[in-house]
Amino acid sequence: MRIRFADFAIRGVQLVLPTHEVSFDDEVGSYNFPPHQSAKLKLVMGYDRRRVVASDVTSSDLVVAGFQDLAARGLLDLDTIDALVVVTQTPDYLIPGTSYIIQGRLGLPQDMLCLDLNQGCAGYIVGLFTAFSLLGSGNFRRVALVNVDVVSRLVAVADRNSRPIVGDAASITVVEAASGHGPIYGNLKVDGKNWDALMVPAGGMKIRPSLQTAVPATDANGNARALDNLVMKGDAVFNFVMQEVPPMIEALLADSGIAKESVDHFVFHQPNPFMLKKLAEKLEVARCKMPMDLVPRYGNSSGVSIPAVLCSSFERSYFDQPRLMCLGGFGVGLTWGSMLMPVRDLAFLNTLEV
Amino acid sequence: MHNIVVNVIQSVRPDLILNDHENDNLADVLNSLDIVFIVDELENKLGISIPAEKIVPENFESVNSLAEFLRACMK
Repeated sequence: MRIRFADFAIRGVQLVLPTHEVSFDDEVGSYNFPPHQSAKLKLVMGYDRRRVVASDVTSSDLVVAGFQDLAARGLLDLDTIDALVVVTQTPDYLIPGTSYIIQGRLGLPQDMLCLDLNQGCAGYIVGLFTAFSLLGSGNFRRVALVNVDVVSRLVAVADRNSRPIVGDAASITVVEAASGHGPIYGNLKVDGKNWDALMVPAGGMKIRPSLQTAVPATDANGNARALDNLVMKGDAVFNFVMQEVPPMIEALLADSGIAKESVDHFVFHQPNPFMLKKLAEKLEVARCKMPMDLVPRYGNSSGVSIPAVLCSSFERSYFDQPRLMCLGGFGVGLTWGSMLMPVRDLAFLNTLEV
Repeated sequence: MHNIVVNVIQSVRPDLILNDHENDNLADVLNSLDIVFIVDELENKLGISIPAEKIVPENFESVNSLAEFLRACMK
């Protein structure tokens, strides 16, 4: 699906990180790794430090803290939010949607739209697409896009495929009408036939959570996880990213008529440094234009990873001049999407630790 | 090339008996992390960059097919 918008802009981005940091070195005893592979894992896959929430912290906790901080510092008038779009795979409850909890806890106006989307690593692109579409309806002037995941609460302690890179985080992106801003180009694709490449088997209506679904079983690679835990088919996801992402970006650039060299930065979802390095090589993009160091610092925070890179790799003043940014997300669904847009004059671009 | 491949795989997966995988079944016993390690190690040893789209199970089907694939990469 080809996408085009105009006259909309990102007004500001806030990243919310839990202060609690864990390190791979401290956890390595939990995994079935031969000792000699540990150093290599840090180097190649970026297994190092990650931010995770305490066991009782929910998605809405991170988001509410982020909004309260923005309001307290005079960076965002919460009463001006017309729509709250929350993208998460880790809702506080199955019912109601987390957007309603956030709206209630913050005391936002009743005269607004609350919308919840279940998306992961492509969630920033899907979320921006939704937010821009709402603005395009003419019924909304300012949309708060929230991406939040506390996936650390879903991964098994002994799952060496997922746990060493999973990080928790939230982001708040305010988008609004901005005459003369743009154009914004984008594309989105979905392959629902591979819905089980990334999933949590139990917890929904298909398999209800029970004592049995909490019992770990060990797979052929020595990963012990239960049906309540996140499971990822690493090979399938790797192949999907390598096959689909480069042509997606090439198609986006071709559609826009913008030369690759004119793009200031390629900010992609952050699965691990190895995959990002391979994507940069395939796309022939200089590594200095494609940040790939989020995972070793904070972990892979699924749909939050793109705004996390924006907030942690760039200063707000960098966007005093218009910067052409290519954003790319890919993962659960399977879903892959990208956007090419100018970013400038941000009211805020910062990180809050809670 | 064959010996380099054997040494690299053996360093990543010392538990494998590679004589059993000379001609087939190698991809079946490697997981995605193994493949990442093998690619990284081969790139460092051979001074090449293996294209992303070539890191697919077909090229890791056996010791011999991987060696053949690497020879092609170096041409």
